[in-house]
Amino acid sequence: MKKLKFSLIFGYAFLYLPILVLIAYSFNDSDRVMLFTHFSTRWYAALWQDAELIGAALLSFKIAAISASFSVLIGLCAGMVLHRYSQFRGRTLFVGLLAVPIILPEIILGLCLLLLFIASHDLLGLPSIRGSLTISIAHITLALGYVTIIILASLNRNLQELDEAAADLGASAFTIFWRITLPLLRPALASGWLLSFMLSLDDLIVASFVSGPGAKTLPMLIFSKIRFGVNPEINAVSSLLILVTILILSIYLLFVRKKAK
Amino acid sequence: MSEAQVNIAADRKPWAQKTETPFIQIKNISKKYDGITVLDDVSIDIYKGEFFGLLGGSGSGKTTLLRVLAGFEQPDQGDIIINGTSILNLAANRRPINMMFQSYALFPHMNVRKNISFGLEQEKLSKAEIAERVAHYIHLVQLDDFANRKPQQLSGGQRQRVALARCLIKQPEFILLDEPMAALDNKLREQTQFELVALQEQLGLTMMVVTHDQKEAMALSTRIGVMQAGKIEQIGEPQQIYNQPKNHFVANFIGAANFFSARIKAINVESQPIAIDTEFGTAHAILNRFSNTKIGQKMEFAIRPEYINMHPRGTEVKLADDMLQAKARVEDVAFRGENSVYRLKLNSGQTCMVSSAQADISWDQEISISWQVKHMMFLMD
Repeated sequence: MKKLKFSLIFGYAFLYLPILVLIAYSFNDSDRVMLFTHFSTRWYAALWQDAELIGAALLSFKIAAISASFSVLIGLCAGMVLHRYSQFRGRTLFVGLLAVPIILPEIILGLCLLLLFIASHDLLGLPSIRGSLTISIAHITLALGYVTIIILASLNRNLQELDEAAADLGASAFTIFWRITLPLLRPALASGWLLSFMLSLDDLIVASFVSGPGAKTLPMLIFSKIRFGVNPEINAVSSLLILVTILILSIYLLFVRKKAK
Repeated sequence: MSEAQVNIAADRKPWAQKTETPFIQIKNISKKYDGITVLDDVSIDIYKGEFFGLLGGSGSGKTTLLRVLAGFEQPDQGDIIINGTSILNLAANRRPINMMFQSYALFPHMNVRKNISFGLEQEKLSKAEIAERVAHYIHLVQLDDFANRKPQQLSGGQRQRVALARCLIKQPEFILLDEPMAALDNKLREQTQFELVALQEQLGLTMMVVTHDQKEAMALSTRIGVMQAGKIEQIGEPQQIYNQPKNHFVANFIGAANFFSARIKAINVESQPIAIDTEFGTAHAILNRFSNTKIGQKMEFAIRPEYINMHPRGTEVKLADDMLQAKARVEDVAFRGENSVYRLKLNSGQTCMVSSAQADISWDQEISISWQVKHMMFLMD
């Protein structure tokens, strides 16, 4: 029992101590990061004055929301096709291919996307400028694999039987999708959306590759700022980011648990 | 829906009359999956008001036939005709057929009322009419107090009644039931069987039930079709299937039977019965249903455990002409409540099962057994 307690504390300390340190120092009054003088919330107050930071945060949220929505939409289409046409040749290959963007190192994915955008700019003149649009597209690529796999996992035999039962009762394909498939997929769609929102919000590497001079997401801004030394304001904004992440994770887990019931 | 449905199929036996036209005709349906034959030239005629039982083991093709009827699978060959019209080219949602799934397939995000009304909402009906009919069917299956519950909050029996009401409310020409009792416990199963038959007769429904449970098929059906490896082996009334099975498979699949070999000894054209040699003596029987009888032909006979009488040694009665007998020893007795099942070793070496309520016979006892020739079921494969 004692051993168990020790392991537990040790394990969780390993996970959460760095985060707790960061949060603690975000309430430090001192200008110097590693010298704790006394408790203050002045860095949080200062955040509201920092237009650049607020702009970056808004951009990040915008990109996260857009890319999450499109990943879910495209993932739903892909999932439906892979589910409905379970017989076609090479289906296993296609399902396997979903995992590739997930396991591909982000730095490679970022480079690939950058090259694609440059090539398409040279050939088609699109995208005319790299910025929030290219980051959004890149984040859709990043998240689509996860989302499709989540949706595909919900489109199981059980759901197929419910679709058949609805058809048997006279429902058209549209009615079946609207009244049976979609409501039953809602937990998967929601958790897919939240997951890709979070992936987008946290991403630094891919965004750095595909962004242009105009667009700076929050992780990019934080990273560029700490190159000139860690600043207590960064601690504060990071703490807020952690808070948002935990919040989204909690909602995600709630959906997953509800689905499991 | 009229209450005055006096002429129910179970009493009228329309299949016995040559003049009746079947309501549903399943004609020469064949289907292959990846080169494996799942349905092999299946033909069944079903009459209005009939409760047809499709009986077979797993992999016999019975579920595939059901899915073909419901419209979820297209057959490679054959046709399905309802009331004179082919429905083969109709999609599942346009067929006048409703199916009750083995899993019930209730919509988990809808309550009982919504589940039951779903089918009606697909038809162009007024809200008031839908509400009225839904209320009627909820009452019919005794779920008035549960109308607002979700399927997860119901017991197995209640779920089954929701699934049934969801089918019935569409008032289809033909209802398919896939293993309707599989998820119910024994006691409830028996009660539900009676309720289902009562409902079917009261509403004059034409139904087909698919089951692997021979007792269930016997209890529910007006006629039974026995399936094996994609083929229909025999179609007949339950008593007919039980007492006059066509071949070894049917005799073995329905109920228990003891099998012995036999040989045709003499065919006397003048008098109908044929003399058949068995190891227990010669039996005389009429074998009209076999077309190719000839002297010396090998065949088989089966006898049901309940048709064999046991006598302790020394109490044998003088055998009548129409009886055969053998000597045996009791190897094992299994008490089954209303009767006991005896496992006997015949002096000739075979094992034979007998079911009887006799109390004066027990283990290791030397006995005689006898049976009437009319209970011998002659089989040729």
